[in-house]
Amino acid sequence: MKRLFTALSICALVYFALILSPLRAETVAKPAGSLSYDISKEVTFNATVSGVLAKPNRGMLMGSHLLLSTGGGSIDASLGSFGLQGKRAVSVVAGQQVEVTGVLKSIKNKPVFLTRIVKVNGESYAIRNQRGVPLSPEARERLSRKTAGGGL
Amino acid sequence: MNHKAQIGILVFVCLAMAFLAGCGSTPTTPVYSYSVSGLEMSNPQGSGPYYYAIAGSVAIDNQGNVVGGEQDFNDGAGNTSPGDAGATPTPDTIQATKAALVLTNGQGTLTLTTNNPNIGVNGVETFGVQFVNQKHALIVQYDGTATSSGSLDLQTLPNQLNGSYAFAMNGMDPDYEPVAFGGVFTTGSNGSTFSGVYDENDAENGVSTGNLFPQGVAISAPDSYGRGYITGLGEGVPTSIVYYVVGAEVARLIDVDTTDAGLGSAFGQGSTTYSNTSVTSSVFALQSNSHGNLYAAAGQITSPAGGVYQSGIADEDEQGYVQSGVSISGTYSISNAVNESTYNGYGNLQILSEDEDFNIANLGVYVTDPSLNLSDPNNSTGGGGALIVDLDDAIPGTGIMVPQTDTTTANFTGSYAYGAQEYFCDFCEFDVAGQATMTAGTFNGSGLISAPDGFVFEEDGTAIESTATLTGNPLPDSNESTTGRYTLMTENETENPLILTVAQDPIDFDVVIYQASGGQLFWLNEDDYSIFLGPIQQQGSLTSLP
Repeated sequence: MKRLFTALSICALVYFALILSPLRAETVAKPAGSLSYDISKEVTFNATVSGVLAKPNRGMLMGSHLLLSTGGGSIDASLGSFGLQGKRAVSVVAGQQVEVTGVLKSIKNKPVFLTRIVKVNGESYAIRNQRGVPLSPEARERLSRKTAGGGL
Repeated sequence: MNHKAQIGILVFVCLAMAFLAGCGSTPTTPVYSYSVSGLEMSNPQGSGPYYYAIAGSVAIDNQGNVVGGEQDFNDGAGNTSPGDAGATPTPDTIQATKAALVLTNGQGTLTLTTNNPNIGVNGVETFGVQFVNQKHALIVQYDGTATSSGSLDLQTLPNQLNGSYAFAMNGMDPDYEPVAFGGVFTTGSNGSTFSGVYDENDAENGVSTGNLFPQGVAISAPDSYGRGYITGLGEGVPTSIVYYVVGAEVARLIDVDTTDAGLGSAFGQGSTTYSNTSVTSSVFALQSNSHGNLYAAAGQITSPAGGVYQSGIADEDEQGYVQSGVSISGTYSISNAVNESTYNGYGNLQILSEDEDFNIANLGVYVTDPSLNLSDPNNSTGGGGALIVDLDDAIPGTGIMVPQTDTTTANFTGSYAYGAQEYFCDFCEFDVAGQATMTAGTFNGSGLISAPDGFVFEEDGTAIESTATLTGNPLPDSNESTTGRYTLMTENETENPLILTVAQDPIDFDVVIYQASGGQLFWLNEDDYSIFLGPIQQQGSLTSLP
C-alpha cells in the first residue's frame, strides 16, 4: 500500500510538472526554472536501485545517476558531480533498497529527481546541500565533521 | 703609491660603483605575472578532486631561461604554499632554470621548478602556453597532476595598489562549497586608507549584497615581483589575499587561507564617474568553477539607455541543460548607494527572459576604466567594461562584460589565440589553449589540451597532455549584425559543429560565439555532455619571443 501511494505521488508530481510548465512561460525576474531547488517541495520515498551510472547517458544531466524502480515505474535520480566518487561517496549496487530525499523536477520533458540525501544499509549520504548544490568529496567530509552525531 | 697603482685603484672603485648602481636598478629581464584555477586530481592529504588556484610572478629572459620568481598555490584542502600559513604569507620560490620556456610560433611549454614538493610533479609545474601577443599568453597546467586555465601577462614594475578598483573572485568557501564575490574598493597608497563594498554568492549560505568592508584592512607593500598581501577584509571573504601587481591598474588576487581558496582580479576604475549612461552594447561571459552546479553562460545586450535595455540574446548550459539563443531584456543600475553612500561603478544587471529555465537573472556589475582590456591587461584598446558576479541562488560564478563595438563578420578574420575551460562529466575537466586562423569562414587551428582524467567519452583515467586540432565554420545568425552571434551546431540546417580532435579521435561540440569586436570574442560550448567557456583573442606580433 505504501509503495502504491509513493508511486501515485510521483506520478502526480510528474503530471503537474509537465502540464503546468507551458502555463508558466512568462517573463520572470528571478528564475524558478527546472533546475531550481525548493526544499519545501522535498519528498522522501523508498525504491529499488535498478542501475548505477557513474557517467550519464546522452540526454541526462551531467554527473552520476541512480536509476530507481518504484511501484509506479522508473525514476532517474541525479547525484550531481562527484556523487559516486571520492570520500563519502554513495556506496550502492543494483538491487539494493534505498531511501531518497530530494525534489522531483521536469527537465528536458522528463522527470528527474534531484537527490539531496540517499540512505542505504542504514548509512546516510549527503549528495546536495539544502540549496540543491551538489557536494564535492571534500565538502561531504567537512559536512560530516560539522554534523557528527546529528542529522544532515 | 705609484701612478699605475692609483689608476688601478680608481678603475676598481669605478667598477665597484657601477656594479652597486646596477644592483639597485630595476632588472631588465621581463617579469610576467601568471594565474590559473581549475581541478587538482589529488594532494598529499588525500584523493580529490579539489579546486585549486595558482598566482605568481616569474622573470624570463629572452632566451627562455627562468631567472627567478615566486608563486602562491592553494587548494584550501590541505595543500597551501607552506609559507602562506604563517602570519606573514610567504610565497614558494621559483628556481632559475635554463630553457624553461620553449616555444614554436608562440606555442609551447613553460616549466617552473619550485621549492614546494607538494605541487606539480615533485615541485615542478609545466604549463601549456599560447601567446596572443608579446605581452600576453593563455596558459593551461599541462603536467597530468591538475588542469586549469589562466593567463600570463608582462608586468610593469614597480607598481602598487593605489586608487579605485573593481574586483571579483571565484573559489571555495570554508565548507568547501563554491563561492563568488565582487565589488569595488578605494585604497590609498598600499592600504593607507581603504573602503568599499562587495556582493557575495555562497552555495551554502546564499546571496548577500551591499556588504561594507570593515575598518582595519591592511595592504602590505609589494615586493620586487609586485607581490603583497591584504588582510582584515571582514566576514565572508578570505582572511588573507595575496596580490600580484600586473600594472598600475591591474592585479591578480589569490585567496591563501588554508581552508578556503579562490582566484580573481582587480582592475582600476580610473577617474571616471560612472552612471547608467556609461553602459554600451555589451557582450558578457561567465562561468562557475569546477565544483557545485557546473554552468557557463554568454550573451549580448543591445543599446542600453536610461537603465533599461530592450533586447539581447543569451545562451546558458547548466549541468547539460541547455538554453540556446534565448531572447533577453532587462534593467541595470550603475553606481548604487549603500547606507546612503554612493559607490562609483558598483552596479547590477537584471535579466528578463520568457524562458523560465534561463537561470541567469541577477548579476553584480563592477565597472572598470575604459582604457583597460579585461582580457589582456597590457592592451589599451579593449574599452574597459565590467567584472561580473552571478548573484542567482545556488549558481555562483564570475565573468566579464565588455563593450560590443564591431559585429562585422568580415572583421572576424586572421590569426587568433583561443582558450577553453571544459567541464564534461563526473570528476572531469579539461583545458585547452591554442591558435587558429579564421579564413573564408573556416576556423582552423591547433592547441595544447590538458585532460588529467581522460577526454570526454573515452576517459579511462589516463592523463592526456597533447596537441588537439580543431576546425569549424561559424555560421552568423541571421541578425548577426545586431547580435554578433555565430553558431556551430549539429542542429543547424547544414550541420557545422566544432570538431576537436585528440589522438585522431574527433568529437563534436555545439558552440556559440559572441563577437565583441574583431579582436575579442567569446565561445561557449552547450552540449548535454559538456560545457566550456573561453576567449578568442586576435593575435598580435609574436616576434621577439624566446
